[in-house]
Amino acid sequence: MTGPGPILAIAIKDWTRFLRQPFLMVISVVIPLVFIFFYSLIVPVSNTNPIMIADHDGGPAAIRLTATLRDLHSEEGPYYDILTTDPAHADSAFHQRGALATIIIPEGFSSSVASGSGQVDLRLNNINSDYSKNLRLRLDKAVRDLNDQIAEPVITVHETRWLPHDPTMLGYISTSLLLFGCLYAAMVNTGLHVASEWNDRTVKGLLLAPVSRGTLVAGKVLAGLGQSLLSVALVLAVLIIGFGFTPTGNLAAMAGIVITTLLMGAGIGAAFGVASKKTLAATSSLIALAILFFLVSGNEESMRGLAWGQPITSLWQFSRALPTTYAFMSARSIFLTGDSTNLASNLGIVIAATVIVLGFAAWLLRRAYSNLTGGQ
Amino acid sequence: MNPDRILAIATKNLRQWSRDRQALAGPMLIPLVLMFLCGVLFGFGGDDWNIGLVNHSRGPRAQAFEQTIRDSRSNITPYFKVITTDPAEADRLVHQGRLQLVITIPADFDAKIAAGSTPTLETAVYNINTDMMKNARLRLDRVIQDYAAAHHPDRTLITITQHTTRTSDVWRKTFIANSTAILAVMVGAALNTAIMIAREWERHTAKEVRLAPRPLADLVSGTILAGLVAAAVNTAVTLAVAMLAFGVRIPLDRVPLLLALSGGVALACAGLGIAIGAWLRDYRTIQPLLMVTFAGSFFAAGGFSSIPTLPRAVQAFDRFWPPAPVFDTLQAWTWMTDPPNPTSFAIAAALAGIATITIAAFTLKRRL
Repeated sequence: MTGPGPILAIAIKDWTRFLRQPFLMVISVVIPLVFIFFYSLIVPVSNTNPIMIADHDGGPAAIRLTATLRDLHSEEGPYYDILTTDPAHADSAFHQRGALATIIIPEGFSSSVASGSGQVDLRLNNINSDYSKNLRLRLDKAVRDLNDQIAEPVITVHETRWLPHDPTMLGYISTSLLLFGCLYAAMVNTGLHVASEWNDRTVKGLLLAPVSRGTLVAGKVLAGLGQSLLSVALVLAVLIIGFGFTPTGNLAAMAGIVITTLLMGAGIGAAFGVASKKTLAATSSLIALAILFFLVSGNEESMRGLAWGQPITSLWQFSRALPTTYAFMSARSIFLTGDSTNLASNLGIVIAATVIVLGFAAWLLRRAYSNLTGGQ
Repeated sequence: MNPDRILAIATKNLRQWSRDRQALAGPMLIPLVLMFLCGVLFGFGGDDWNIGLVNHSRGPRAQAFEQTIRDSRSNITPYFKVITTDPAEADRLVHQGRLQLVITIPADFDAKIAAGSTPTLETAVYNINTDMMKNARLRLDRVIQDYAAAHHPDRTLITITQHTTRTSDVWRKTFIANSTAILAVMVGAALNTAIMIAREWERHTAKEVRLAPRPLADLVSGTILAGLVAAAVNTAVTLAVAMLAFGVRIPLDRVPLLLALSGGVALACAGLGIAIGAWLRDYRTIQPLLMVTFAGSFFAAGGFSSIPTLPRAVQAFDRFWPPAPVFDTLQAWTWMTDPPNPTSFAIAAALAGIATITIAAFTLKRRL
């Protein structure tokens, strides 16, 4: 038997199983949403830091400094979320470890500024260098801005940008999360469908069916992809409705990169499924792999500028060796930056890798279906 | 409760655990993956930022400004690492995204200052996102502020003093690695016990358990005991990697308290694991669900960055999310010079342990 009938039959069999087994629904749909929910919570951390100000002065310079701190912002949003300016509240929160940092504006600050010797104090419970650095540099920026306003700028800066506007972290991460959703769903769903045949001891029945091995492979990939569409649609809906993600670009190009990534994920999942032949091993490995792809491939453009020492250079080179990285870069070109300089070559790599990984998965499947152990 | 039966159940579970490579590696996978990826990606290089620095001026003021850039530092590392001073190479690298900032000091820098006007630096940025750009631009602001304070005090009406509770900052990679060790305590206890319970159904041995006389208390105790041993092994491996590769150093005088607090947390998580294992009974659901929930909690509940540094809405969420106080308290007791009183946390952990074990026993009883 050849043709689309058996392929569809295998896919429908797996979809029916999916609908009847709640655990598959949990793994396929709920888990990526859980990860996206948690990860998205920390995206604003890169831009906006909560801070307490203990304003012991209350004079005009103190008010102006607080206003400058409040006004500092990037294209993403404000740099500081000022929780309080009440000195008693701020001091008590810092001493009770409710706040890790406090900006102290001392009494007499305004008159000191008027005489040219104002000092503001940053108190830090410095248990994380990233947070300490962020708070200090923001305060430096505010003080520099205020000095420039009151006196005269010492140096100005003229900036030439690659893109006219900085893409926001939310947009940057949303693109990565969408691709993560595609890879996760395709990898895990297809991997589970393949490994389940061994786990449930039904692989022999499949093997004895009067269909070609290619048909079996195609049926598994179709089953995984069909199931993935539901979870990818949900991920996209969450990103658009929940996070205000507004993808730009050509609709066909957007659909193209999503479908290609799904196919690549299905190939990876099928290869893992047949290699492990165990659902638990396949699921755990593929979930960890999807998170790895998200963090490593999804951050290549950030790592590129940081990779001038070890071990970050090795990690960056590793990301350049992963075909998934080029899917993330293509998606970012299409969805976010609109820069198409390397889009064609990146897409070429993604499509070539997808063909190779699907071919490899098919070869593994054909080989495995033809070499069953005695227990099956 | 029969100690022999408890020990027998614990031994059986540990034997199955040690023979099952998936169960052995699974609970360690997420902490180790997060430690390596987040530690290297987000925090290995300290505070330094790679830049191109092109100085077209030979004047002393321009030289002083260049030196300020090179000398600028946090209390752990310099703020900048100059990759190139060649204009053509700097231009090429910033266009490729290999550098995110190139600073060019113009030829007329000194002349403008001498003439009483303001010189303008030329910068080129690869502005891939606001986070990268914030890091690059704010460092330059710091340098300008430092240069102004040193060379133009008449225009620097406000300066900053900084007081820290520790002599030097805890490196971010170290903070993250310690968080993954804390994560290993929770994941190890919850996931190992959940899989041990689910295995009774997966391997069709639940029937034997049902037929045993009054098995509940012994089964719960034996599984918790085995889960705690397995979690201790998972945590020890994770912590060893964190110490060897990421510089985690726990003050010796705090080890007993940290062990006691971690034990309470592990007990509560083990109870939770039994409840989930008995409820879902399918380790294909249990493993990914727990792994992803704990991995997500690492990011949102103080593992990646301390709770007071998170947005208000997340802090509000963390008030009700149990892993949050675990990360917060154990990190505080590892790093803070003057950590908060742990009594309320210890009481809460003990109560959580009692609650989850009660729920575990109730859920298991229903299933059996």
